[in-house]
Amino acid sequence: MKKPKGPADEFTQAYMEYYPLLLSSLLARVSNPEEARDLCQEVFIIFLEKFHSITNKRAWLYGTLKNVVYQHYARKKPDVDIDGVFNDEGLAFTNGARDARIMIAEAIEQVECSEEDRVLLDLIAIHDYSYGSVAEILGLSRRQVEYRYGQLAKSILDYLKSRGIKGLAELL
Amino acid sequence: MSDDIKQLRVLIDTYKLSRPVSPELQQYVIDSRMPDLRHILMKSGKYSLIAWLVIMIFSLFRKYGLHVTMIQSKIIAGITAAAVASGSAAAVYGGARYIIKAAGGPSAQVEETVKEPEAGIKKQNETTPVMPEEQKRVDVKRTIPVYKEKPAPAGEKTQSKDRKGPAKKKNAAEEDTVSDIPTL
Repeated sequence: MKKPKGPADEFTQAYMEYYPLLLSSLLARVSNPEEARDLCQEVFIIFLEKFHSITNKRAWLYGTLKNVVYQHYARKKPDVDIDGVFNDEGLAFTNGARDARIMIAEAIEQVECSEEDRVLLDLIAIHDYSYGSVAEILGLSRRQVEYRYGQLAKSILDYLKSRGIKGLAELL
Repeated sequence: MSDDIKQLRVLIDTYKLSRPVSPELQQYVIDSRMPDLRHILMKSGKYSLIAWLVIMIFSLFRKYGLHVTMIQSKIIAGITAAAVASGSAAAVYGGARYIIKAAGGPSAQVEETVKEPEAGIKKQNETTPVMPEEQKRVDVKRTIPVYKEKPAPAGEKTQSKDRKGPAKKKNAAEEDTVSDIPTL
């Protein structure tokens, strides 16, 4: 992917890719869509201000998102357990199952791919977006999205095999 | 769907790694992306009409599955602006030329058209013979010879007439036709 010139161009390109990902994460944590939008805007305004100093955009955006959500809950709903908002499902698993969950999450995180493919994987695998929606977001054709997601799924399963998991039956 | 995709889906669903977004919310996310970008750029003071035009081109191409970068969008915007400017200039020039031509051109000419006579009448006209006498009258032109008298040198006038004799006089009398036009 070609790097655009100028901070506004770079920011716009990054925004177009990460905005659906961040807003989807916020929608899962904040029930009101309008509030989620406001928080997402807040994150991106800070992102634009500190754009030059950010190296890992995705990590920075998720970190800031977490802070913004913490502040939001501290302001509006102080009685809500904020840790539960971020680790809701993970706490439900115990012992070996939790380890397997961590391993799969790690496999998804560790797979070697471009930033665009990472967004594609998160949108489809985590947020259950349709191929058509992802194609519209990333400016790709539906077939390209399907092909790329197939390649990423293969890479994740290969990573799990490399970690000693021969068959899925061991995890299921 | 390939086996790898199915297997990954089963794993994600089993360990509840997903945070699904409903199709309605997916569309909501896609629809709110551009208005939110506008708000962010306005709040940050980086919003301008040209920048927005470039962003619109960028998002439009992406919407239809064409992967373009911001630089490519800028180039497309530049070419589009140049094409629009040259096109409108050409249209203005052409319009002005047309108006000038229409205003300063020659006056309108009235052309009289004679309707063709009806078939029956035409046939009748064709068959009616033209009187030969009338035709002759039209064609023949009356020519009346006019003779101009030469001015004779002074003193010789009477002598020259006498020298030619009676034969010459006879010819002159024949030629001397009566003219309707008075001689000067």
